[in-house]
Amino acid sequence: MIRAMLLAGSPQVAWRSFAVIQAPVNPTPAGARKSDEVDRLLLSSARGDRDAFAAFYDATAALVYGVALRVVRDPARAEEISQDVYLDVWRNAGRYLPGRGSAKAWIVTIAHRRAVDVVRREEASRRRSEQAGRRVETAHDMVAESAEGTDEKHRLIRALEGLPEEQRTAIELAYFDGLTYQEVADRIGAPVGTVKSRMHTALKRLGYILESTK
Amino acid sequence: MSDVHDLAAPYALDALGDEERQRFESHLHECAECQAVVDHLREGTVGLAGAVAIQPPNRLRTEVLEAVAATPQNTVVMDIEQYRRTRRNTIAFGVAAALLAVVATVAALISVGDPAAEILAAPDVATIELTGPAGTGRFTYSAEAGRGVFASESLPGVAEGRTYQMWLIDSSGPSPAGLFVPDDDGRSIAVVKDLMEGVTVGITEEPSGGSELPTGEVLLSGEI
Repeated sequence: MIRAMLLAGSPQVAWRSFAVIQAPVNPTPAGARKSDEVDRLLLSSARGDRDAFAAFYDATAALVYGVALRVVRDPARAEEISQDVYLDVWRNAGRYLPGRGSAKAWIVTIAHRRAVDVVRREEASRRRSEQAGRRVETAHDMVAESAEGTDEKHRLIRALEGLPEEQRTAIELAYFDGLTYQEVADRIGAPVGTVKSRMHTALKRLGYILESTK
Repeated sequence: MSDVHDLAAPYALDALGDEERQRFESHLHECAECQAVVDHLREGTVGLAGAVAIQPPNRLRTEVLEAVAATPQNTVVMDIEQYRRTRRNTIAFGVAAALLAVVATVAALISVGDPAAEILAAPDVATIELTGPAGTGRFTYSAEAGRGVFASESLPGVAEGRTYQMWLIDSSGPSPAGLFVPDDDGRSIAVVKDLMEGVTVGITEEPSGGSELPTGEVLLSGEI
């Protein structure tokens, strides 16, 4: 019957070779993430849409600048890094694959990597000698530092605070202070294997909290 | 706990030394499982970043957007084989073979840019073979994304004033779905939008500019 309709829709003899068959389409696998608005802005940016890129900037600038500032601890350099990151992202937006993760995770990864590399390359020895005597900054201190914190920021700080102390310390020393996992292990006097598994559990929990409160 | 797989979390936190980072990145190219774990854990780093988020000075926005206006974008050239290895849950989705077939068809490289990346990144990506008098071609699509990519090396070049045209055929008849001509290397690539379940994809040769209804013989077709 479908074939008859097809032929009715097109007089060409050639179309007899088509037959429409309903075939099941693969179901969406469980656990696959749905893309969000920020992902879509980045995908549009990849097609040269500068308005979408401006909106993408607005949605992510505080994350990018915040991470850069926390790691390099110098506003001028954090600005420099942020500008480099956004230009890099604009040029290479087509490399973003939404099936692999969120656009926020993508740009935050680029920003953090760059900030850590800057710090390690140019200031490694100085920073490490300074930090040797410094106490570990806690999530509480971060709240106190930021009078301009948003609800979202406070929510994430609470999520960090909700992690077991030893897990939080492990990821904060690595992510905010740019230490390697071996350096973290030395600092807190724990075996490297323990540090790695604390990092794993802590990141998984944070990701879960983010996803479940979206 | 001395396995290379344990480095996913330190890697996601940028907490590996240079040498170890390089070694782990080589490992990631070979290990889809580790890549999937890294992708997953990186979502957690957004939480860390969010906890230290601070609005930058307004001048940064101006500077970035001015620089962007003067900066061309890179063309994305995607190596499908590389992508297949690192893709999340590739094997679980049962499309490894399908993507390998695409690789065979388009010689491992595709450069149609973002739409292709979007399709390949979709969780429900699948491939069918189009057959007919013109030989064979592969159609890789995602019903969820509503898009597909056609790739073939068997279509002959078209004469001046002629083009190949893609069609989507459902119970209401054929609708035009885009024009393409093979490149200098004999490779044909075309992206199709507005794809729906249960349609048939077909290709004919038409006058330049395309036709509203097909006028040529069906050279390749297949049902999705």
